Amino acid sequence: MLNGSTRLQVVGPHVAAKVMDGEAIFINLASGMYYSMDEVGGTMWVLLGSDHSLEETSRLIAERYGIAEERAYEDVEALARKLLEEELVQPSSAESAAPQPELPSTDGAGPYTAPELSRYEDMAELFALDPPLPELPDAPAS
Amino acid sequence: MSNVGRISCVVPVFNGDRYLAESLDSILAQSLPADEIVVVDDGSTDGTAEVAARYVDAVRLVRQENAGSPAARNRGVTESRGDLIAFGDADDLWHPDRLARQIERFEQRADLDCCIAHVQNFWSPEATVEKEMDLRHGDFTLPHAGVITMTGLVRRSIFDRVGLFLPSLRHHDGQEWQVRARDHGAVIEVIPEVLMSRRVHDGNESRRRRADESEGLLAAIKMSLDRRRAALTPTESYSPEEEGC
Repeated sequence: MLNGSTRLQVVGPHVAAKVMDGEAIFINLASGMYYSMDEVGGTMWVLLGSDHSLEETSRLIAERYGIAEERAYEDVEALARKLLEEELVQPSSAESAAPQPELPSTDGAGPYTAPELSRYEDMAELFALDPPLPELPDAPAS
Repeated sequence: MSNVGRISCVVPVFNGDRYLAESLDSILAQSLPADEIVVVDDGSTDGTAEVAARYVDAVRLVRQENAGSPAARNRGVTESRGDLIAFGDADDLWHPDRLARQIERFEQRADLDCCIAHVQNFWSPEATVEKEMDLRHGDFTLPHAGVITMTGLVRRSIFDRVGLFLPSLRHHDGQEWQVRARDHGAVIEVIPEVLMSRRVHDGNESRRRRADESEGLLAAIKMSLDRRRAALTPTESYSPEEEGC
């Protein structure tokens, strides 16, 4: 159940995420599917992915884009639900105060629009090639 | 020489003295012999050079400072002279008919740029992890499609169009290349035959991967998305559905 204090983390170890040029990319190595989120979604993920709660994220998004906090919360929560549905994230038990992440520059940023999570399946077969071998903690360096 | 051109085998190796000889023996035992075998020693500090030196009549050894496997593979591409390049890892074993079967595909398909075979994992006799890996990953006992760096036979000319492997990627440089090749319209065929035995042992580089080391794949995805979006004309809109979603 999501609420304002919920924090999220990527589902490990088969999910990886990174924000590049403001765009958030996720990959699920188990399914081969990958995802992208536009600039607004990328900014939300920078915050959510650095231990900010839904409420903290909404507040910072509202400040950044000059929109009402209620609207920002609606969109952040909707995005969090999509990420959960796609099994890319799970609720985190982190309770410590979130560090201030470095947000992408607002230079050239467009107006606020609700974030979109696009899902792609076209490389599933390709990413299934050479699946990673099991990871064992005692693997020695060669 | 095959009917479709000269074949070079490129084998990058880093501290691989334990398994290199077996791997080279399997290359030399091909039913369709290669015209050239290039071993790129990527700054090994073990006995790799000594092992390779035992094959001086059959193998060309190129040595470089440690720069990572993508850079070593690139060195192999530039040092080799074949029209077709077969890649392989220095701890894996080639099926005796690997080159013959893959060359057959090039003989049958003039448009083919890259042929990739399937792989069967095997557990090196001295490995200590067999039981745990079996328990945790039963699928790893089944054949699976390889990747260009492991089982690819590639037409050299495609590198002019697509470029070489990205040295900046620590992992997944093969997948990144294949994504890039696909975006450039390369014809890549994955054949079902198992033509490589992949050795699983305590020191596999890929066993040390972590999800947070998947940056190569994430970068490959980002670059591919950017390429595809840039390729669209201003009047077209980008629709994920059109990309097979």
